[in-house]
Amino acid sequence: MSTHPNMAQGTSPEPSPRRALPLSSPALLAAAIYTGVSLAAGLIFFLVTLAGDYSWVARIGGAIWVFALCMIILMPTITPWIRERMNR
Amino acid sequence: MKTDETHLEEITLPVAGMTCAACVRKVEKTLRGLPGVREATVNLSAGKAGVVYDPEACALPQMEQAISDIGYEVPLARTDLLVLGMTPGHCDIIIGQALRGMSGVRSVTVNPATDTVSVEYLDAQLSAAAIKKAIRDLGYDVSEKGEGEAGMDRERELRRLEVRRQLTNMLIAWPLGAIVMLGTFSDYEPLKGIVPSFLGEKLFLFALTTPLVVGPGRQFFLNSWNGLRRGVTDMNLLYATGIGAAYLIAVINTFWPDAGFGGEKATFYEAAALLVAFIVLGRYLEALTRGRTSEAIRKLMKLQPKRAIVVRDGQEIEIPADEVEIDDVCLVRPGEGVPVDGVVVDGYSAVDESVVTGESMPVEKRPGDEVIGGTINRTGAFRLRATRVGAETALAQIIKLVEDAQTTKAPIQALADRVAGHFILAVHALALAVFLFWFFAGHDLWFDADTRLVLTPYRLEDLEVFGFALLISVTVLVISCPCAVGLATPAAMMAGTGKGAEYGILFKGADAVEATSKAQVVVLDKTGTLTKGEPSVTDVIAASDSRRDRPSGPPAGAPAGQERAAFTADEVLRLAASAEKSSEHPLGEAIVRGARERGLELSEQHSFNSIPGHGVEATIPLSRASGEGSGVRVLLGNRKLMSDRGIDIALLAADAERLEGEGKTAMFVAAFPTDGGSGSQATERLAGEPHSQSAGDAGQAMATQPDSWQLLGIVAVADTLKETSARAVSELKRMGLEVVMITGDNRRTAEAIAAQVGIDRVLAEVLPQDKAAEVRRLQEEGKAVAMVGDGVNDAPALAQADVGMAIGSGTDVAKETGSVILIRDDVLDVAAAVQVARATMRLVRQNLLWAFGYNAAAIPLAAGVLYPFFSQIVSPELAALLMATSSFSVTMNTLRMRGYKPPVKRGPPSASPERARREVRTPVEAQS
Repeated sequence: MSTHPNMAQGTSPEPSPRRALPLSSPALLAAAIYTGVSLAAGLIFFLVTLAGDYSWVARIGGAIWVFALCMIILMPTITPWIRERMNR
Repeated sequence: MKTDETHLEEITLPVAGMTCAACVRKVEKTLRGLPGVREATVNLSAGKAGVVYDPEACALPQMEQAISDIGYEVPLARTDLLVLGMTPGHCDIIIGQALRGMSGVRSVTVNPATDTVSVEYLDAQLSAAAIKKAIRDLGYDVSEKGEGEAGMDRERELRRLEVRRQLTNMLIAWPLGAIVMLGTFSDYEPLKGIVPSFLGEKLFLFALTTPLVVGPGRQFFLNSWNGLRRGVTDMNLLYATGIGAAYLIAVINTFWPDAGFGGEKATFYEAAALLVAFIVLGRYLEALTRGRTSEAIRKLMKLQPKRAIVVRDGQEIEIPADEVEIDDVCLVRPGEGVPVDGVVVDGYSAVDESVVTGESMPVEKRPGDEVIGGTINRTGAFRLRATRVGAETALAQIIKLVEDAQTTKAPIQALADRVAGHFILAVHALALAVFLFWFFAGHDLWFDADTRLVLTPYRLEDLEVFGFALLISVTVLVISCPCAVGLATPAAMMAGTGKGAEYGILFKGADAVEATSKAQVVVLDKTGTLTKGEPSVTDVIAASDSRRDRPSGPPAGAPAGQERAAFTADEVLRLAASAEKSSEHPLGEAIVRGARERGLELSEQHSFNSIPGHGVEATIPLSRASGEGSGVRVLLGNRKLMSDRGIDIALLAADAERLEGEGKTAMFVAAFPTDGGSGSQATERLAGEPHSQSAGDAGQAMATQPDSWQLLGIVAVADTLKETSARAVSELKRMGLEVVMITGDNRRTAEAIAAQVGIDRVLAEVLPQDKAAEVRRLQEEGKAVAMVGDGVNDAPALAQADVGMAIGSGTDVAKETGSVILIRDDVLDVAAAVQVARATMRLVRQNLLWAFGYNAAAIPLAAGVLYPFFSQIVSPELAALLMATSSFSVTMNTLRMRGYKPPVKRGPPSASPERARREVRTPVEAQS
């Protein structure tokens, strides 16, 4: 997307949304939570498949797919929730 | 615009690039996430976001940046100006600095070599006229560069660019996708032997699919990633997941065929390629058709005149229409548009006002008549004096009103919004559940080596559990379509409100459309709604005449004094008119008019008191020499007023009943001398005219009874019914609505009028302030009430009703109360408004049914509910085709509204019971 010339000159008094966030920021905390939960879900899937007769491709591929879908589901859910809690 | 909280401001930002309800939610969520933003409401069809924000905490550029960050754009308006007198190196800097300092200006390009200045600005914050004024204030002559370039519709331009962009994507995606498909199925009949074998080579398919995914498909990955970073999801995510998964499996099976993803026979390149092709096709079709739902409003916008010929210092000068100032005199020639609202000062013509009022017949215009900017002058030339210019003109107000209405949401949309808002996440959660189910249970239970993809010869015998579960999971993602759900209501509302505007029916919001469609009772105010509101005096009966008509004298019970009253009919009318001289009530004005038409000279008033709903009381001096307080009090009003003052009306009761039975309003006239004991003086003054023998007699009569009111006579006034009232009532009843008439008239008169138009239920003798209570009473009966009346006098009742219709507002629509404004003074438009509203809601229901029905049927199908029975699954590319046609179908269905004409506007009602059945829908149906 194009950026308007005067915006590029920094007329906005607020920090740019693209600016790096400090460690204590809601975005980072949210990222830690949804990534952690998704990894856990992928790991659980992998461990469950160990009990069955599945190929390694199915185990790893399935775990990745579960991880990816969990990330997609949790990212937009956790981020605003954390932001709201921290702004309260 | 300032909101209730004075530090908050409200602004409407145009937002381009939104395609579905998820986009709406994404933009709303992003804006609400900005510091200082209190509320953000986005309308998909209008492509606008209404934001309530604290300007100290959030600047507009931040909103623009945030919208831009998530993949959309705030389109800027652009104006190209011709600025004369600039010198390079100086003037360009001054102009540039001045304009860049203006709030809302985003870029300025000054070119002294060509005398041009191009400004890009946010039109929600700034106008082209303000920019020109700023340059003019610097001392330069400024004008628009050229008609074709000036006032460029950036939104349309962006839409055109979007169409072109998606067309380019299509031109890449479809040929490549077709080759990939041919290659994939080159081993199957009937393609076997016809298609060169190299097309089926996996590396060749990889080489064709990769540019397709990273080219036309790139937009889905970028936009979904931008959204995810901000914690929001949209349709792009579904596309990206589907395309990404299909492509990834194909690549793995090409380069690592033993990895267990189905091997070389399950490369799915055609799935990835056709997914992109179908989604791009859907985007292209949407871009083509989306803007057409708001065609009505565009037509209105187009009519806004660009140029005006102004007469200044005796010379005719052509200037941009937005530079016409109030009191400027403009020349309008035959065939030209009227540049601004004004009053004809000389000339004669017929003007086509259909664009504003919906009235197809040209309206004659003479000096003193009002003309509306944007209407077309048909026959003669005339000059007008501008009374309203710029944003104040009727056309600008109507456009704004309709645009504002199109950014509102109907209550029925709440469910769709809730569903669409969480749809993407729900579908991903479902895709996860489907994957887990087919991975751990479904595959073992039902997998068949003969598994085929629906409508393809493709067999999936080599597919292992992971590939199989993943394929179904991806198909679920691709087939679901929240776009259709999100589009269903706003697209229909946009079409409906636009269609209403074509006929001079302005819905102030989507909720007004819904409420109108649900109305069960229509309450019509009598005066000005059913009648023309221009009553005239029909009968004047003097008490003395009434007495003379009776051989036996006054009826039993009539006071003896009444025998002495001896006013002529003219004198009764003169006194009544003198009393009503200051009244603004239509009946009072009619009496004054009636007296003047009869050549009667009216007296001045000492005092005037209006008794709302009952009548008036005034003190009239009897001569200029009489001094203050000397005169006669005249009381003019209904039975209740007479009764309250203890005046016996028995003498004239029979006459009054007869008149009322004829639908006339009978008003009693009584008088009382104010100079008390000096009755003889009062008598002489009351006569007013020394030569009037009868008046002298009357005075004598009063003089003998100075301490009591004297009943003098009756003035009857009747209003003429509008030509269309009876047909409108009949249409409304035919549509299943209960029609009620409300009036301040006495019951007998009211019922006579109601009978003439076919109304069965009458609310008579209702004081203006009690009309709202009567509406509430009807609502308490459990009925949805539409109140039709004058937008000013009936404002409380209009506000109380479920839907208030202000009729005959004329062109000053901004001042009107009521949620529906009928520009023309035609009660048939009430029926038309209900018909347009019902048609719109029917469209909404059809769209919602289709959108929800599609998803409810398609998602389980994609999830494999039929697989155990048929061993067939839906391929991702078929899913993409179904998805694309789903939202396209909603848009196409909505476009049907363009050809809609309210039945009441098609001519007299048909006697055909079949047609009546088609058009008449009961209120219960309307609510369902």
